[in-house]
Amino acid sequence: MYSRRHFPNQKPNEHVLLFLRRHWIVVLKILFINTLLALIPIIFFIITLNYTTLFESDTVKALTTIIVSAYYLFVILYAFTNFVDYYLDVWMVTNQRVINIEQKGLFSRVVSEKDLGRMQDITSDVDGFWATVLKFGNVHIQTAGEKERFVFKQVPFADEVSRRISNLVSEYQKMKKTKPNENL
Amino acid sequence: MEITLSVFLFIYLIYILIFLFFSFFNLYHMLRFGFVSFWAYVITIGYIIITLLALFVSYYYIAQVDWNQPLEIFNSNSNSMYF
Repeated sequence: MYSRRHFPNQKPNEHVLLFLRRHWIVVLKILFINTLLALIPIIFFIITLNYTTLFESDTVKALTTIIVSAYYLFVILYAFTNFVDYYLDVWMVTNQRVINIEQKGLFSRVVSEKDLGRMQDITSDVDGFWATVLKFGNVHIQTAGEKERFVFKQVPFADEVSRRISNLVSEYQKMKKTKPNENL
Repeated sequence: MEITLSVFLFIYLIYILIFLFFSFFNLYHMLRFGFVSFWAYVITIGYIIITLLALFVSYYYIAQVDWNQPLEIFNSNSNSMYF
């Protein structure tokens, strides 16, 4: 496992200033959806037991056992996969660069990074009722000479994050001008 | 046409293998790429415990079934399924 102080390809004198994941509401959403999924067989059982004689057959009981078992294993796996997807999406801002780590499904992982000096337009957007109430949003970072940009998705306090990154970029550029051959 | 219930058990076992394959990759990703935190440990260990519990409970109920029971799936008069 990595730590916030020691991450892959860390440069000398580089330290993490911002470490971001999606807002905790994403975890709550995973929990809520999976709780609902877990309740479906229970509701089905209550209705079936009270209004039908379906479970009097041994064959139906046997098939139901494996179907319910397979279903719950799927729900558990689905919840954990979603959590892993959430947990492994990380955005880090260090005193030298911005690092974007995104887990896309189980078998795809994208790690991109850019020097702080190459950051240009930094904007944040807070869109929707829950995003406004719970104060989370997206931060878009346009890098010099490229169409692609970093997007910090659903991060808490998006406005504050974009302001801090802007300040860091300004400080970094000033520092580079005064000490062009040194790392910060 | 008549089959035994064990056919379904066999399909279930293949499903369990697929489940274990995906579980392995999830756990691998967490251990290999995850950042150390209390919640990462709690949820990873929680997942292992809940999975083992679900498999144990499933085994408990599956072991009570006679999987050699015949199952008539197609009647010559109609195409309906009979239990």
